Amino acid sequence: MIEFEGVTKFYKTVIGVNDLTFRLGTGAFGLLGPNGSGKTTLLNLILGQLRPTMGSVKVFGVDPWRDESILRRIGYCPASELLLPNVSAREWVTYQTEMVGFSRTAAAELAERALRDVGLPPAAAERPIGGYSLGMRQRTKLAQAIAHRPDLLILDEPFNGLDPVGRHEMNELLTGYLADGRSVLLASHVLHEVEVIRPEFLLISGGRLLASGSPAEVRRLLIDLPNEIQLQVDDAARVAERLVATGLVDSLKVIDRQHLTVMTRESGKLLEYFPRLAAEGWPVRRLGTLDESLQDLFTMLMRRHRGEI
Amino acid sequence: MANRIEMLKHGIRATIRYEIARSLNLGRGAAFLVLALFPPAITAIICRLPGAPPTMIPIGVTSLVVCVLANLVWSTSAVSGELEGKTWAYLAARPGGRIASMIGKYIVSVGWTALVTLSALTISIAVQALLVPTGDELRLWLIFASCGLIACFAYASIYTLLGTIFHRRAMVAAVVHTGVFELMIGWIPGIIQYATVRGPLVHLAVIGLVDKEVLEDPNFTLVFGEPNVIGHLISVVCLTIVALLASLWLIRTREYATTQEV
Repeated sequence: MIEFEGVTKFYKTVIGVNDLTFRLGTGAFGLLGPNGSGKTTLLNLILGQLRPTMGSVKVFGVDPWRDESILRRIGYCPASELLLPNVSAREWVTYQTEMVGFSRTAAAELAERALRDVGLPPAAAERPIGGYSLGMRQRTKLAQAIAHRPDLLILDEPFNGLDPVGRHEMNELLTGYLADGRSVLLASHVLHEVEVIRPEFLLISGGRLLASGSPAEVRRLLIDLPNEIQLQVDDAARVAERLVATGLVDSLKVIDRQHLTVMTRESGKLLEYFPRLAAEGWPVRRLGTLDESLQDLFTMLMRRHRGEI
Repeated sequence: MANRIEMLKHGIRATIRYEIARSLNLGRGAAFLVLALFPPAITAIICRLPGAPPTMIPIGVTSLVVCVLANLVWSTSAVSGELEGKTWAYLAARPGGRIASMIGKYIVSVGWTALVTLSALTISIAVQALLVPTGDELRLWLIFASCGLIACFAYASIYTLLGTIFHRRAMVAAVVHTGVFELMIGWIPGIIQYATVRGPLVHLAVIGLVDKEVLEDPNFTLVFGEPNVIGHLISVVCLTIVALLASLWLIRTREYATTQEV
């Protein structure tokens, strides 16, 4: 579906994305990276809005920069705010759908269905977008992206401004979309937003692809990386002394009297040591590891990329 | 190919409908009234002056000024307006969206500017006919209306091009261009006038307004050149088409990703 081959994009002397090579088939994909990491540049390359300085981009087998007709198969929901003071959601979504090539009547029907699917009440859809809440604007943006039932839905920070109910509805909608055999590419800097559609993911930072694949595949990359463990104890300084003495610890940081963070490549052996520590009168009251979620995986990759670990 | 043309046609029609609906608001109405009533007001003042001097030139000039101002406001912002309003990303993600949007906006801005220019002209000539009738009003209207319509198409394409090139400072670029080309270079008698809209249009208006004997007067040709209607028309039409095609080429090939999107 999407093929990047050695793609680099410069904005004059600033690099947007750097030597990206990957292939994405049909399915759900999460594009993760901090703000300014090159996510939107990557999306714009997919949409043919930017021309790669080097390398080639193919979407559904064609170069999107040269052949705009491919955009008919793509729905795009940008991150930018929607500021239209005197246009209703119905008018605007209908207009956007007509721009895909549908007749006025067909576009109006598709727009109505899309607005219903995103949960925008019919009365609200007739009001000017300028008076909408952030959540309603997000729904309107999503409606214009899905109205023409594209094969690939690209969403840039789609959860911005949505309340928990809205997020749940959005998740349901995306899950339903994927169940139809269509694809979703969801860009975000907040990992748990992406996790909900259970995607393969791409981690990007500084315009470079840090990792890609399923969470398990990316986790495999981390085998040699130290784990970070947080401990709550009665006397952090004393426990720190003992942990250093074991030789299992790469580094250690005392947060306050009761909390400390330990970096270790021998987390299994360290866990086996804790009962002994308790027997010596220094029990571990609470143990937490930062490496249990995708968020931590992402943090670790970022730190490795920056050369911190 | 046929499918793409059909898609483009849908897009243009949709843009026209959408832009017209969007422009029917109080702000646009107020701007329309101010622009349409400014030339008649000048005409009325001149007609009231002692001795009632001829109003032909003020009517022509003020109508042209209205055409320029209306185009400055409504044609320059084809791209910059969408970028500032952050709606560009949506249009650009449609097949042929950028081109359809520009053509649609061009047609709507030509329509609005033609409407306001012709309204201003018609009311001005009606005012003149009421206060100082000459019996030549219809001829005057036909000449100025023809020049005004040509000016609407020409200025709209030039300002659209300027807005496409200098999308971050579209209005400034358009005002500077107007000052340099239309107000300064437009007065220079020579071939450089053909780089302006005003030059050939003034020639066309003069050819229409003065008598045949005057046109053949050597003193007249010394200032205005040979009365070459076709030449002047071709010059304005070429300028319009070249500016429009350049805008379309630019909008299709230029990267308009905003800083925020980078």
